[in-house]
Amino acid sequence: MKPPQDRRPDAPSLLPRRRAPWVVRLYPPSFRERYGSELTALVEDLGPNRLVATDLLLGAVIAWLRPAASGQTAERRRRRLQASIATTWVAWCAGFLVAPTVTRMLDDPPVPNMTPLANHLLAISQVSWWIGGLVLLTATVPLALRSLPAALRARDRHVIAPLVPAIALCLAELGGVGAILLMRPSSPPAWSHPSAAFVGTLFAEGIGFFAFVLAAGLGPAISLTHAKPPARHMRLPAVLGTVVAAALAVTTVTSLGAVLLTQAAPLSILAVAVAGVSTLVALTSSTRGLKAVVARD
Amino acid sequence: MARRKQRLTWAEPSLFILHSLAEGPKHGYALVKDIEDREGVALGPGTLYAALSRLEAQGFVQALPGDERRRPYRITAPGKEALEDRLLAMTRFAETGLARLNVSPS
Repeated sequence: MKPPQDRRPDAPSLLPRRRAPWVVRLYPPSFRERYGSELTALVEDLGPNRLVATDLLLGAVIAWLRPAASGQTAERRRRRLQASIATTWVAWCAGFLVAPTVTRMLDDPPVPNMTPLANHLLAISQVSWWIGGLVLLTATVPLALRSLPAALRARDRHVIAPLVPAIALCLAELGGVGAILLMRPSSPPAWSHPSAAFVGTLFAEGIGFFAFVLAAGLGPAISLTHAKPPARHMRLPAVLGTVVAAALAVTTVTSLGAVLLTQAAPLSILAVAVAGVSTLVALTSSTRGLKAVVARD
Repeated sequence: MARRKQRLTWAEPSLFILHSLAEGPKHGYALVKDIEDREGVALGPGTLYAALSRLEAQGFVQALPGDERRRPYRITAPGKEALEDRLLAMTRFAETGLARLNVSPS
């Protein structure tokens, strides 16, 4: 069957045609290498609309969580390890704010119905948050040190470019913190507090922080998939990924317990909900990575 | 109760794809239109290629040489076997259900 020659002008073209390839770019590089051209052609033939865009977005999420495993067994395993590490990283970045957010909402200042048990849960949440963060760094820093020098020498922009926004936003955030310190109540003393500049900087700092978390979550994951490190470099990070996922799960569950005990504000519940989804994603993906580590040919 | 692990589930897109490819090789657009015309199910491009990638990894379908943008796929021997198993199981299920309802298939 030949695809239609006319582009169905009467079809609900709610998504501009030129944006279809952009949606396809959300798929993992390995998927795009294999199916990207066919997928783009099919979207063009069907006529892009919101349903197609939604279906593509869901397909992209599935492709990241369950990467196409065609090809040789060794390459399939390498892709599985790569996907697990990238997904666990993204999930941690999406969910790690739960502990500081809930602690801030419940304990600074303490809410009236704070109980000793809720306090204990917050303490456990913070300890597991630190453990998860340290294990994540232990897993990813050596992998970055092994992968990045070669990419820098080769000037591989596909590996380096995704990291640039996170680095730039990190520097901007540090500058913003410096500006807030300069504008705090005692400095300069002649200013009324809070001054418009102070409030504006604080607001920009908050927006910038979330942009930084987004860039720091997605950038390294995209960079990793382009770097294509060998499986032997990814075995330990994949094993440690399960520890990170478990730590995120403990952080989320204890935070949820504290929120329920104290009947805290909606923002805390939102943070716990985001962390809950992130935890499920991290546990699922890291378990698959662990299976790929222990599997035999 | 013993639980059997099925290679194909009852209502997943893979079943529609194998069913369509049993007729002959097709590319993505032809698959979508055939499934829509015969079964009344509109598979989105993301759903289609997620299923195709799984089927290819399982060795149930194979890409044939052709235009890179409209590559045709064919069903393989293991794919035919998996489809046959599933269709026979569905037939047995339908026959039992109809018999219990005292309905004879016309």
